[in-house]
Amino acid sequence: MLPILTRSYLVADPTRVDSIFKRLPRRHKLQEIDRESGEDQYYDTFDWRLYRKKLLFSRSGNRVTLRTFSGIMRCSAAIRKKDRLFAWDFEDSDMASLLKKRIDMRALCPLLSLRYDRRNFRVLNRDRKTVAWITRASQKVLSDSAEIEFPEYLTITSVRGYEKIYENILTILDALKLQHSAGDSELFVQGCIASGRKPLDYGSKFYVELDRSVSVGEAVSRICLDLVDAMEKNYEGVCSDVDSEFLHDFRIAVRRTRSLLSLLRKSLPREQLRVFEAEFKWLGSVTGPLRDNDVYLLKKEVYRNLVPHSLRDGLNLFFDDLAARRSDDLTELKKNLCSTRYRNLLESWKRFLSDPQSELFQGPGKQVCLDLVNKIVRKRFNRFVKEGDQISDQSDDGQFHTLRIRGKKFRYLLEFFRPFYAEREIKLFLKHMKNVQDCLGDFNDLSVQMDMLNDTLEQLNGRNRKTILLAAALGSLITRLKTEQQQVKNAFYSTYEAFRTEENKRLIKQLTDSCRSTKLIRE
Amino acid sequence: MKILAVYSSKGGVGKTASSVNFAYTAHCTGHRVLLCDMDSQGAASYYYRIKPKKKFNRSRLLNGSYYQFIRGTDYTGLDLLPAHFSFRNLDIALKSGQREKNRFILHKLLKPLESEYDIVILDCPPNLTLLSENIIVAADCVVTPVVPTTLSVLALSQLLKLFKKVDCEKRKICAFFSMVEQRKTMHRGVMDKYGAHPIFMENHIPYSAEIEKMGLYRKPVGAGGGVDTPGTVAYRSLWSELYQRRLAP
Repeated sequence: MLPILTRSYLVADPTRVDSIFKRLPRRHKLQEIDRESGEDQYYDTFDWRLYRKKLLFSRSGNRVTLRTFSGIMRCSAAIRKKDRLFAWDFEDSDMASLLKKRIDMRALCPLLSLRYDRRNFRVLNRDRKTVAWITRASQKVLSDSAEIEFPEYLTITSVRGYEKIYENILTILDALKLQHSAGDSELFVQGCIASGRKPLDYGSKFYVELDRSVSVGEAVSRICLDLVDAMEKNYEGVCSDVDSEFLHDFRIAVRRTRSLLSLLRKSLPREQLRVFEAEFKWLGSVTGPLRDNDVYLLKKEVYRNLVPHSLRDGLNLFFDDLAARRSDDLTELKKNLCSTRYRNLLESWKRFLSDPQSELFQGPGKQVCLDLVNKIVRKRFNRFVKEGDQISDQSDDGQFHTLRIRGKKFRYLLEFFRPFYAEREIKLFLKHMKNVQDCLGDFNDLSVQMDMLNDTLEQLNGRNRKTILLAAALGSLITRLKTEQQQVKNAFYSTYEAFRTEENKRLIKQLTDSCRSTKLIRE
Repeated sequence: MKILAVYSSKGGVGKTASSVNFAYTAHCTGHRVLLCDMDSQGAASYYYRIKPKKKFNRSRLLNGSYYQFIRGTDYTGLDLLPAHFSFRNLDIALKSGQREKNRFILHKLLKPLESEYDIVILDCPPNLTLLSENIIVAADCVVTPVVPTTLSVLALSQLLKLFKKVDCEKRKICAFFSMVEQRKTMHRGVMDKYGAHPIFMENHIPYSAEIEKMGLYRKPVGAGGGVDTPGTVAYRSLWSELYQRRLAP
């Protein structure tokens, strides 16, 4: 369908509405068709996946609707579940496929409730045909603490083929100097703010603003405080087990922290950091088992499709077991995250990062970060290429894993200090890097998955039907994964060749040469 | 996108009433619908109170620039391509090149709508011409209303002959009894004789003053809410059966 045009106006003084209506073109009549009042609940994922795509997801009673900011309905469905909604809750429907594409495995959580009172009018031509729609609405945001009332607003919506009349109405309303409003999307933003969240206040992409003259200590402090913030933001979601990505993002923040400390180790106070390094390693290890479990459970459908129909029941037994183990892992993780050890770690870490007297800002921590980072970027790149060149058909899974870790550290390094470099070049380089990393990641995932499946297979006891069924399913899956791993391996060589080109080597040299602290002083 | 043609070579069997009500019912079930009024009389357009724009005509339709002339009805998600008086000569205009190729003109014209609509309903004029061949080729399903009388059944057999001629799958055709008056012996007799044939839908549309009055109120039966009338229920049941049997993915 052609996009339906729509525009909203704020009406600060509701008593003006009738006089506004009287100004509509005389040959057109206005007819009130219905009046509706009720409560809409708005949802989005924690990282605003729908809002980023200019989509609004709302619930009215048992009906949920996905609309664009401009009010065009994309999809609608009935569902009873209220607290957290996943794409898979909608089974095989348009809503399920649309949500799968937009939010993937994330949960839609209620953000705010809007109480509305809407009166719908249609503008009729001489044939009494609807040629435009007008909605007069007043809305209140219901938050825990209070009700916040918004000014009344009018929304004009076009009917396809009658856009001229729509334009005429807008001209009249513009002449009355009514203030434009973004309609529902604006209400959504204001409602979120009133309910304690601001759209786009969280995203999993890393970016910390750093200027080129920043010292090592200052850079580490800013980056790590941002990562602590990410851990704290995801903490609640991990403990409440809202969806798997809270833990994923939490772990990435921990991993990034550990990577940064390791990358800049020589310029940081070793003694003081030793404890933190050990504690973050502990945090990584206690969050690992649940994440590993999540990875398998998220792949349930993929795995099921890899084995023949007759073996799927066997695979279900495997996943039932995983789901049971997951619950134990979650209890264990919660215990660790609620421990004094965790609280002390975060408190002392934040103190260490923000105290101006901290060792972090003394000695080598005072040096300009830029030159040091340039050096590490070149070193890490060369090491990655050197080790990548050594990968061959004879290489074992361990070598691929080591290369993946090197690559990951190198990519984190570029992401941490991205503001130092020319945006276009670094973006291009990261894109090339991502292709290699994706390949290595897939290879490693398959390797870890096969190890785990083999372990499970080895631990199977008995000869009952269930065990035989499970063993057959696991065997079939391992075979399929092995074939897939070989395909990924083959793809790696070409991806890597495309990465280690002279052009990319030049790009790294150009990136690091173009910004140096000596140049900075001259400038 | 599925294309449904409501077609019969016989006039007055309820093609337009069915097209208008099918379109409305399909829209009520959440589909994005386009109703194409191919009949130069423009009755479907009249029912939806839509007049074509002044610049619209047969040439605009055939050269593919009809897109800008599609108009929204009173029901969001249901659009209509209005008829134009010049459509009466559509057959002549279609006969421009090779006959074999000419049959695919409508099919090609409708192709660009694929991403926009779930269902396109063609309200066809009563004839047996090149336009009919185009409609048969373009449609995923050709549904024909049959008044339970001899002439109407004859029109159905002519349609089957046409299918054979254009070498189209007969599976595409289906029929339903329309304007049924149970009190008439002939209606009962024809329905008893042919009703069990797989080509016929189980549901039928009764003769009803309410459907006749569509011309007076200029809206589909059941539009505007309120209590379900026999006409609304009949069209809803028939649409549901038709959709499940012939159009559902």
